[in-house]
Amino acid sequence: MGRGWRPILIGSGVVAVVFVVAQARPFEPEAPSGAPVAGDAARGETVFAERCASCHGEGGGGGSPGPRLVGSGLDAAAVAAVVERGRGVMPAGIVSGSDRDDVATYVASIASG
Amino acid sequence: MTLADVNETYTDLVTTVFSSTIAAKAWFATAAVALAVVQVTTAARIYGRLDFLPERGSAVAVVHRWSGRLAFLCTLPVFFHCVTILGWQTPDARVAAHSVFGTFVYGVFAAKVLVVRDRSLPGWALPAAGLTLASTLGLLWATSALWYFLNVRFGF
Repeated sequence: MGRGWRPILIGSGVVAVVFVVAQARPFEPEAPSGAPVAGDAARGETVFAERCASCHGEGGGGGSPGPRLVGSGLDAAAVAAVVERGRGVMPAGIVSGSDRDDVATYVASIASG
Repeated sequence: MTLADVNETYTDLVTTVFSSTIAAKAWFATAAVALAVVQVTTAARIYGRLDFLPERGSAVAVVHRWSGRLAFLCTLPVFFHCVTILGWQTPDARVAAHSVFGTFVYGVFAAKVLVVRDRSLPGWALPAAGLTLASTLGLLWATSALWYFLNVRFGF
């Protein structure tokens, strides 16, 4: 094999290493968890429609850039933690206080569906 | 320091300047692409093209080398966030394409650096490697930072 193959072989090796690291995600944060949340799901649905549906879709059915929340399996505490800290392109603190708890309770109700 | 601490420290660091880690990533990627344009332009001058630029010589070569080094540095925080935190994802075509280009870009970079140092290769190898690297960077930027600026927000 000629020397000309060296850049391609080493480049391919680098691609393989990056792919393995990307699969491993060594610094991916653990799933957020927090204190149990007790909110009002019905009120949360209204807040969700006003503040969250533009990204996550109507009823949490999925949109852009927000992922589908229906059937996601998230619990209310995890949702509240994500709302508080933000995640990816989602800014931190998009809703707060009782609105946050209500939205978290609503999302947990559709997430288990 | 635990892995979670590394992530938190990185987030704290970049959010002292930018509104979010995603915004930071978008701007670092944009800087890298801008420097890649400088790379292609100066490389073209070194190869005797683009006559409106100053005479070929050491100044152009210096700008070419340093723009490459700075572009590489700009990609490091993007690599850290994209590869080690977000990882390989394929929820839709844009993200899947971004994952593929992102996986290849450092391999193309390594190959290009090796081609630069190997005088035995044919003359077309270096421009081909450089253009492949610049194109990969451009596609990476278009499927992430450009999308972010157009669909989420344009700001720091």
